[in-house]
Amino acid sequence: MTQVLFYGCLFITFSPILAFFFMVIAKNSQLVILTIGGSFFWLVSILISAIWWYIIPPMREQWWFIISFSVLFQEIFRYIFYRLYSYGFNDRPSLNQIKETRHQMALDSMRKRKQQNGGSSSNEIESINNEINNNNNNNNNDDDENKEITEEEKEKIKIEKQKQREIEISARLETLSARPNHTLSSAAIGVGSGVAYGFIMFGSILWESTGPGTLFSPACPTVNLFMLSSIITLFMTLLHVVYNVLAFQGYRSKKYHLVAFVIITHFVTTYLTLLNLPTKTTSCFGSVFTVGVITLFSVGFCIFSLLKSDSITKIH
Amino acid sequence: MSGSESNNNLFEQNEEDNDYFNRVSTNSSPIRNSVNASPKQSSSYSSSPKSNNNNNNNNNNNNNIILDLNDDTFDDKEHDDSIGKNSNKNKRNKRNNSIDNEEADENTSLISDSEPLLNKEEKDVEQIEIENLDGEDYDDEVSLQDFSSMIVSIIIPVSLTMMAVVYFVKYLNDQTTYASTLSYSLTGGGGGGGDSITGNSFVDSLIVAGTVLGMIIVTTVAFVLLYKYRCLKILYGWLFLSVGMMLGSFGTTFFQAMLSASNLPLDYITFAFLVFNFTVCGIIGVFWYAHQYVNQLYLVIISVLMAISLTRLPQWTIFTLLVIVAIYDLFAVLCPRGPLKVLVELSQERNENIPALVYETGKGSDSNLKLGLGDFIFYSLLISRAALVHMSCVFSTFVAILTGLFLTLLCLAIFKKALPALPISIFLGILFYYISDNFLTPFIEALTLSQIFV
Repeated sequence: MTQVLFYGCLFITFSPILAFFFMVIAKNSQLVILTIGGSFFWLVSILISAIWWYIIPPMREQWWFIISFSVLFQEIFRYIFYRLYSYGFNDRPSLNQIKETRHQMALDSMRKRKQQNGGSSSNEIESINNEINNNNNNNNNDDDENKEITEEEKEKIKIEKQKQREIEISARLETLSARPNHTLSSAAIGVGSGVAYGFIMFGSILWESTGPGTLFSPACPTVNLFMLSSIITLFMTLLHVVYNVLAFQGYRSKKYHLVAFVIITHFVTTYLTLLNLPTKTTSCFGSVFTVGVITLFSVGFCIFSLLKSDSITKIH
Repeated sequence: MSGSESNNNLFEQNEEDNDYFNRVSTNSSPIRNSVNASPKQSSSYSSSPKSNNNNNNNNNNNNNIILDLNDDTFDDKEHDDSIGKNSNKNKRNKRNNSIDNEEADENTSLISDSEPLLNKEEKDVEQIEIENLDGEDYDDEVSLQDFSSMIVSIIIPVSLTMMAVVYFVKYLNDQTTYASTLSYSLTGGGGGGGDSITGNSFVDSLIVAGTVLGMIIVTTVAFVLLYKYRCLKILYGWLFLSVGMMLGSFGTTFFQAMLSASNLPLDYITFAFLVFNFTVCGIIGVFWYAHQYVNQLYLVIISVLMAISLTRLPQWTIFTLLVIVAIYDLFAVLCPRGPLKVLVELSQERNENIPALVYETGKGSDSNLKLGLGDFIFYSLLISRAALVHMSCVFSTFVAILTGLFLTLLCLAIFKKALPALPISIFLGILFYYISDNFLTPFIEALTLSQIFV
């Protein structure tokens, strides 16, 4: 019986986000790496807030205190990850742009070669190629001139080798930095933090649900704790994706009202879950429903702002 | 090849023409990779002026997709030509590795040789040689796509191993007890384990871990000597026997434990038949010709069995063992006289594969990466140790290990030498394990009991 509860809650919480992951993000390996980075940074933020919670014993039950600091730490780490991401990917072209540029260059060069005389230009190109090949190889022995190596040339070769090595390393780092689409990247990072949130906050207790017996929510004693948690976690994971897309867009194009929207929504939703406490103003339906409404609204707002800033296009 | 090289040459000649990047217009949706160079047709939903994306050209393709992703940039900054030049250099360096290139471009990776002993008591004093090296066999030209798919192709089996180990350990732990007799035989009882930090247990764990390390060093040196003096028959015989014994005995133990934990009966004859076939298929799959998936599956199974058995060690012993093996790995791979470095150099001189248990992603393909099985085993060991505590520890350790693996692969791509894969991941993993165990678990328990969602 409890196995049914386990699988039900598991699928309720994780289906949308995992479906999004496997259909969109898993197709592109760079996005997967960004997802792992996103969950790492979220994890660090939640560890710091856990440490903060732990070392102030008198405030452990004051939820308003803990929630505000936790949300603050998460947003700070989102900003830190944005800085890291923009430092890495700021003035690199995306892979599509590189491909398109090469395509254009190829087309133009073909056009130019057709216009010029075929013989002379290709010979010139071949000789330039050979020279560059010789310069760029460490121990290239294709040329016959390099057979006799004197002392000076050995020195020169050594210096060239060192320079070459440095150029190689920087070239490798350069080509490592073609980036995917910004919107997709921020969505991938959001999926990372959402999945990390889901697994850590909810997955930890989910395993306990397979034991004998079950727990009931403190606010509404007739509702299963795991059910309620799974629905709210579903909303929160989707919200994490939305937060990330909006926040990165705001940081990137300096539209800080988007960032303010993210922070305010994050605070509002987490404070709404305070309604789950068994106090006077308790209502589990209130919290779940309101959080759901806010989720829908945020998703709509996210799509709207993406359309408005031309990151996505509506086709019919 | 001359066509593309001449094009790349023209890259440099056309340095002044910077309008290539401004003319780029792509639709980078993951569903369809259509590259389109037509000018911008604004048929988008809103009529507001386009704010920040000059390079955003969208196309009006009539297909069934309603929302389409545009390739956006940060601003209308001109992309300078260093990008073009560097991609040129990479294309030119493609197949020009001469034999006497000092930077070792063809790196082979390292061995993980694990052989269990016969006795069940000494099972934990295994001669686990985990040499953790990564090697790569790819060209100089590596784009971010190749690099990322290489990373993902190694992250998938590592994650699968870890998940399998966590599942089985949790399943077995709920039903049976997980004790070990190793530390009792070595240290005279009551040592190396427990939750308390007494001097006794720490010293005992050091003794046990030191013993395991000693066995690792002896076996590694013997392995290197055998390889150096070309006693290949002894080497391969040793490997076959060890893998066979391990699959057979660990497989038997584990299979029996699973059956008794799930309360299923099975007769001895069927049991022996299944285990025998499993073992023989394992030896053939790992050391002889088999489909790539079968090979990889059996390597993962070997790692899982090994890690599950090692989890029986006491708690402090496991951590001491992990730290000591990580430090040893660092020395063995990077020191000039380390046995693993000698082994790698020997195999590179002779231009042949290292005969050992190595996980290889994609033989002969572009993204060829080799990771020793010892890495799998020790990562899974750390995770299963976390699984015995709390599930939140599992996930944070998982993320830490994956991040450490990613950083290691990044270093590998930059330096292109054989590198130890253990140290970064293990140290990050242990750090995150302890922080989660002491701080995160009470936090989460308090939060979930009051249903607050942070």
